[in-house]
Amino acid sequence: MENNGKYDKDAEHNVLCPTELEIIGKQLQESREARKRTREEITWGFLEGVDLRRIEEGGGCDFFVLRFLMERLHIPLKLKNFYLSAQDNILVNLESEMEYDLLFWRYGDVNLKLEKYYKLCDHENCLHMLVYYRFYAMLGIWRGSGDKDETGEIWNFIKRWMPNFEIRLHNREPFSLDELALIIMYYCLVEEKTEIRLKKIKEVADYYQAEFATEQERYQLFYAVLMLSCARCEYKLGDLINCISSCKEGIRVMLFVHRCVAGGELYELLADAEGKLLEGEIKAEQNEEAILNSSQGRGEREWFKDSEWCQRAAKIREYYEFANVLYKTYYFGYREKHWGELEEKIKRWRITI
Amino acid sequence: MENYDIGEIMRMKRKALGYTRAEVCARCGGMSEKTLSRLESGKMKVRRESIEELLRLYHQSSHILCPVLDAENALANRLYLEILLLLFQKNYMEAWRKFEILEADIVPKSEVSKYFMESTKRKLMYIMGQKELDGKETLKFFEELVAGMMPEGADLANWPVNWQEMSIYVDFFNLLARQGQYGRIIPIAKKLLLNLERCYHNIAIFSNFYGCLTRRLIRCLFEENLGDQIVQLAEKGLEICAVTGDIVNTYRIQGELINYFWKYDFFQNVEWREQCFEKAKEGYVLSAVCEDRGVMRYFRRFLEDEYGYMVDDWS
Repeated sequence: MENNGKYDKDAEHNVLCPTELEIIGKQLQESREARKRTREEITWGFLEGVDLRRIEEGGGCDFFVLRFLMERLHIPLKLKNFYLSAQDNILVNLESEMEYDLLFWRYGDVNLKLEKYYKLCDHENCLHMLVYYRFYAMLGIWRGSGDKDETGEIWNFIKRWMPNFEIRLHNREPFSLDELALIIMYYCLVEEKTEIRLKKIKEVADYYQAEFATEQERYQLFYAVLMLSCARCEYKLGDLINCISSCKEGIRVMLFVHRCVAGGELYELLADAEGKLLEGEIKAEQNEEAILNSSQGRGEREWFKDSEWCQRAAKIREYYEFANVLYKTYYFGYREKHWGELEEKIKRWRITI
Repeated sequence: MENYDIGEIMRMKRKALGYTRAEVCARCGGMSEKTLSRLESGKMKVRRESIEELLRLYHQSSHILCPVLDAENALANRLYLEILLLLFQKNYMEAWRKFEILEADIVPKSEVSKYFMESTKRKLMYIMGQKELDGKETLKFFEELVAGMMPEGADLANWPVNWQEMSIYVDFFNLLARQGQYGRIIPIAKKLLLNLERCYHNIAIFSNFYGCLTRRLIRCLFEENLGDQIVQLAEKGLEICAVTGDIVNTYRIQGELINYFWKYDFFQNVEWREQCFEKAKEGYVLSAVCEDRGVMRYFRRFLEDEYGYMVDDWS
């Protein structure tokens, strides 16, 4: 069912009856109390504590409010059925599609869908606009763009609806995944100095790892993209050990969701980092041997080192091959844009040892 | 998360039953065609009390009208997700342990949820060696379950099926496959694939089930010697998996396709042989990404036996 008109705020977007309203309210209250949070702590920024009280008492709310509260309360949305109005359903489907379009470099499609989302959503609904700005920022990141007007708009939104978010992160106050994603994207767009960018992204990563402590909560789509953001900064700064660790953590998401989530980028970066590390060790070893100029001990050490190096080089080639297959199978325009570069890297490691 | 347009669901169900609005209103005393029209187009608030009869006609549990939390509570959902993951990792002991907690703590409210719990339990019991999955009693249970999921006369290709019901169909197919009843699966699976194309809009769920049904259907067609449809089916399934990065169904469909080519001796055809080589290498990598060791062994053995190619040698 298509709706080419503006979002109708006055239309009935809920499909509820009193019993179900009470069920929703009770479950939100139970989750909140289990996490020992006040209503104000859960609703800060976007809603009022009194709104949540009304919902907990069976007053009902629209889907976007409900989803927002569930995310802040870490109630998993997976495997749940949501029966929505036609307009809400179109907006939610657009979101899902844009997630996957972004992951697989279909930027043209994201742009069109984001324009459609903007046309259809309610611009005065802060939760609709949270979704809008998240994709607006992500599109800027993935494209490698982000001018001052764009980032200014995002910052104004953050300032208004997520006041003092840095302090709140530090204090471990509740955030939804949309908010965390927007913060990360904003840092990636505006922070030019990699050290500062990494420091800020790490604050979000630390928050996320502390608050989403179980494997089920943690290993989802957002975490893979977060780890990729960390890993890129770490690689640029030459912190290869942490880069490798971040890549492996991001790759682990695929074991849980069974989907390619930034898989091509993560495996390629992992191979790059491992490769650089190995090259450094080889060079250092060669310099050391030139200085020491030992004989028998040198032979044994050389054999061991070569064998270990061969195994590591094989692993690096394997990572590049994994990246190649993931890119080839899922990513738009890989052959035209990126295959040549990756092929060079693979060839290089074939002949290195 | 799975989201549906409630008005559209109602309209699809009516059409799948072949009813006009007038016919539905005649069966549901007291509802006017205008009300039904507004309900289907999302223009009016739906109150359960006013549409009880309609819900009964459409086999729609009133509990499902709740826009959230069709499953009963957060703990139930978390446990169920953990069980699914443990099943994939073949950690059956732990999956069974968690299921026992789920069963002890949770009382499913909707009919579909109850049946879903029961079918999951039977699946786990079989895996744990406690029950014969292909026993008559289990087959009867699933047949009744599947028959009860939509009203008599409704067209499965057009009847909007939710993810729990889709999962029950998949379990039913597994059961029939174990009994070699591939012919029974084929027409149902084909209708479900059409159903997904017509009724499903959530891209991730759509891709997951499409891939899953495609590979099962390929296997059935293969077993029933109806191979002419397999290649086209597989290509479409792989295209859809590519949209959402569905790794598991990608390599499993590739595996089924290779199996089909191999058995039908297509290796006399050089082009097919080359394609299978590339697909097998890709399938090995994708199964390695998901640490699916059983499938990794399949592709490794195939590459070694057929092509003399050792997968650990990336040079």
